[in-house]
Amino acid sequence: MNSTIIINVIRFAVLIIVQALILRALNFGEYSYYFKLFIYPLALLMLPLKMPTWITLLIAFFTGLTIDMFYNSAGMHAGACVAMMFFRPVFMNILEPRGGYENNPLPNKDRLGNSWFVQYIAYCLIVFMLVFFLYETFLFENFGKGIIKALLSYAASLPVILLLIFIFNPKR
Amino acid sequence: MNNLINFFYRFHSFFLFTFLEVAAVYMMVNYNEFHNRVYVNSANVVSGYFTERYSGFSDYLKLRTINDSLANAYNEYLNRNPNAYYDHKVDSKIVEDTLYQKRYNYISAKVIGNSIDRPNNILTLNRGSQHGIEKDAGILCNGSIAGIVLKTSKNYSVAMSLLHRDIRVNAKFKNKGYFGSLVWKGTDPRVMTLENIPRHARVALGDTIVTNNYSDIFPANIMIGTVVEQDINSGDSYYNIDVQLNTNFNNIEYVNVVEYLMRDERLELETSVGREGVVD
Repeated sequence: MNSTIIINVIRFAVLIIVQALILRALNFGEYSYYFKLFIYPLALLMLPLKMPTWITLLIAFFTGLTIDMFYNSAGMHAGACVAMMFFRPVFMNILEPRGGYENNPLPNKDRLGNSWFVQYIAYCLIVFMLVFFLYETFLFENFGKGIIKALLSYAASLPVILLLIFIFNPKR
Repeated sequence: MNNLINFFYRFHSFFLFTFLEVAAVYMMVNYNEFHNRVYVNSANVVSGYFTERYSGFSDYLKLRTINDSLANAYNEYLNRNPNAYYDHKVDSKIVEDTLYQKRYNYISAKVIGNSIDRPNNILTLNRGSQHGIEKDAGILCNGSIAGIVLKTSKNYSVAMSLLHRDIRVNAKFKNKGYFGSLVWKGTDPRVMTLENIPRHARVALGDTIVTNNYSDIFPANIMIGTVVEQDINSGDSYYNIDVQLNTNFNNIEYVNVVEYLMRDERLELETSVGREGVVD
């Protein structure tokens, strides 16, 4: 159990640093207006499945605030992360395997299967993207552009996150 | 009461979710007030450090562009300088609405080829005929003369630097008015020799040498260098004067090419008089 905590802390640190210092500085020229690459939600999604929701919400809020500090976007990432973690149990119920999650307290690709894992990430991430760009456009731009940006960012981020999982294949 | 507590307990995550979302929206809406207060101040400790480091690094990568733009800005300044205009006030009092006509045009260029160790040294510039550079145009570097254009192609031009045995520059003493021609003896890349200064001239070490008003290549009174050595043999009628150049040909980078807009008119007039009519 202890090693699970340590691994999660390291994963949070690495993903936040990569997101804040490398991906933020990436510049896709004129396209960078339309899609942004977010990989740090992966750290939240790899939290133990049986963790109480209120703890995951608090973790999500402060993770989002940390990213907000670097992006100078007070509250947007925090709101999007909290929404994603709130809807996580809903998707877990939808995708619940026959034996429930009793034998699999951790989101493990090998035990729960590739199909379960890809759907889990895909559903949660779309919530994140929609809420994030809803907030961004709700405050600054119009709504249609927000949807387009959300879908393009989703299409860019999801493959990267899945690629990370299939490369590193985290067990805990 | 028990029911109420049960209700809150049952939906505690929903209430927490709502509370956190409201907090997030509150932050977004009040971002500007937060900006200077707690939130970003604490943020600056962490992210500000990295952001500053990163921008310091990326600023360094931009130095080349900044350097180019500064060279252009200086050239622009030279073009606006009153010295670049020909003063019509003296010649034609009738035409009062065009008192100033442009006489010199300056073109900024970068030195892409250079040597100092040969008998005849050549500068190659990254500007050519399509940018307005012509044969016999003068070259300035940081306000001192540096060479004369020999030949141009569409995009490049080749110039003899001052360190060339064929070069002859009309030069004079800044204050005293004696003039002679400046040549290079082919040995020291920092020193040129001023010839034809007559015996009766008073020459002191440290005198400033500038370009002559008679030159059809350089504008008048452009800095060349200072006198570092002078001697005259008994029986000679001319001084031997060594001039330390102001231009350092070791690290010449950006130059300004002088385009004398009225040269054709002047040469046409001078040749129409004929060689015997002109004092050499």
